Amino acid sequence: MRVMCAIGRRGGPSLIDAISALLDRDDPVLLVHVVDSGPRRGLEGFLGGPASHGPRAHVRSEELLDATEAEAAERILAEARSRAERLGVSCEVEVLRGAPEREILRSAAARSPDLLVIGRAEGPPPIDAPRSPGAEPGRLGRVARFVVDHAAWRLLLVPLARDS
Amino acid sequence: MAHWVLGLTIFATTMAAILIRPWGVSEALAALAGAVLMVATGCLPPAELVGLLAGQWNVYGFFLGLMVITAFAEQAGVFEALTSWIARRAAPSARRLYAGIFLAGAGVTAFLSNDATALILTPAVYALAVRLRLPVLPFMYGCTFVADGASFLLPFSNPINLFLVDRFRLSLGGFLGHLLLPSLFSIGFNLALFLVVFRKQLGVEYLVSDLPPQKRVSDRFFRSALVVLCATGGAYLLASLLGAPLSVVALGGAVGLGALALRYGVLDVKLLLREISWSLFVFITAMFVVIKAVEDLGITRTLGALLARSAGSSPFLSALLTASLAAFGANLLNNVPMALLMTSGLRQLGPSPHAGLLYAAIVGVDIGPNLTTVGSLATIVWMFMLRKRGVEVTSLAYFKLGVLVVPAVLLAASALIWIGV
Repeated sequence: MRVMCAIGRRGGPSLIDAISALLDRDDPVLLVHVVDSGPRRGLEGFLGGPASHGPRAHVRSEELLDATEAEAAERILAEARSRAERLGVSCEVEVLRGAPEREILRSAAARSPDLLVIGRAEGPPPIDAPRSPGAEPGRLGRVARFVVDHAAWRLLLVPLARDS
Repeated sequence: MAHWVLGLTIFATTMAAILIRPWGVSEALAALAGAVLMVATGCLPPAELVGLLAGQWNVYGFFLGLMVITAFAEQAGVFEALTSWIARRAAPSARRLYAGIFLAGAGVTAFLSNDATALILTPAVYALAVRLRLPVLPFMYGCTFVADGASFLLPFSNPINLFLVDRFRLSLGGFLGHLLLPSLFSIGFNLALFLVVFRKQLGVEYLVSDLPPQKRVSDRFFRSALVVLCATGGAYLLASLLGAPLSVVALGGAVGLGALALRYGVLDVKLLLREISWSLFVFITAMFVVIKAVEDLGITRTLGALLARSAGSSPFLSALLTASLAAFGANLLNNVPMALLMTSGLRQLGPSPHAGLLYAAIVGVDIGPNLTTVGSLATIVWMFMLRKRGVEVTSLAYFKLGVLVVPAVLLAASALIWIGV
């Protein structure tokens, strides 16, 4: 079974724990992390827009941010990979950049995995949770919702603890 | 009359060009074209130019000094050290970290200006949030909002304050007496509101071990730069207290940091020159010329008359009207021309207009840019252009936050100024 597992900012090891029981040792597993480019574009837009009157020391910050994002992505994937290897599952890793929901689907479309695994932040809401404006229980996050809506492959949605 | 119509047309066209930026023309170029036309058409006699611009030496020196100081502070690693220090103390709560970063942003704004927070602290905080695997957007919004929200804490917290402070010789005591409480309200209310709005994203914990060891160009440069920055902050306060020109302090701090950079072998003049926004000097120079021409033609008299009429009504309402007008104008155009327009309009009320109006105008031009995206309506237009090119921006979310924050701050600040008058 070819498995593609999208690892978010947090919860990579928990995601691996959750799927390890489903995997055989020889199953090829690809761990993907998408660096969300949205906030960065917003930042670049802000720094390059009319607000850019004033000091321009941020010309240095481009390199800093590139390196920081790359380092963080590598660390996130290394953490998940190390957990997988400890459980006897060998995997490959890949860092993508863009809108996470679209990049996950694009990457999956290119690979047609037998199983696409994504985490669901915050875990499942209690079934009788009160509904209140701004905190609607039962709603998936933007990324999970989009992937659930558009995935053309078998999909495993793993609830992750809020702080995992 | 012909001159009046011509001057008004040039002014309106210049402001529209700054707002729309046709063919991608920069604001500085649009403003420069307006200034050249004002002089070429005789709306402003060329003989007045030298006196007008020479009279602004304090503003020029302050802007230059501030930019150099900020560039050196960034090179020394001050902003990264500050964010890391807060992260270590606030761990593991993302909420505590958020509050710490927000308050640090207020401190940076107070002493190094709103631009330092918006343009230099924001990327440092962004990097911190990425490293700590925290959602980035709440932190970005926090930095950009506090940059303007804390801009009226001290006379030098926003360079445009200087237009009014210089012109009307506002003392530090008067400034603090009228604007300390509104500033504290603005910072506190903004922080509390964002903690509620972002409660879900910030309800997580982080690991300090995700912070990498700090890399600095030179530890000795960092330590001595900190000392010079603190001394410069103290000197700003002293100069404001004594009514001495702030540009001298800013340039002194810049020279001090430059000397340290030279001593520790980290001075990179080329990079430093690249980090100074030279177009800003073109922009403010052109704005001085355009607004002076408008003032000479009597166009700002209407604004003055409006403010005078409002001053005759209740002091609270007049403060609210002035602050709202300044905020709306700063948002519609840009806060530099709006601050100059308000200065000119208030001058029509005599050499020392009502203090409530002066301080309300400062609050308005400082906080106004927070109402829409990130600076002015011009930014919105520009964001729409970006969207057309497929670049996703977060302007709507920013606007929603601005609508929550700005009117409340304007209302509370007007009430506090009214009580303080």
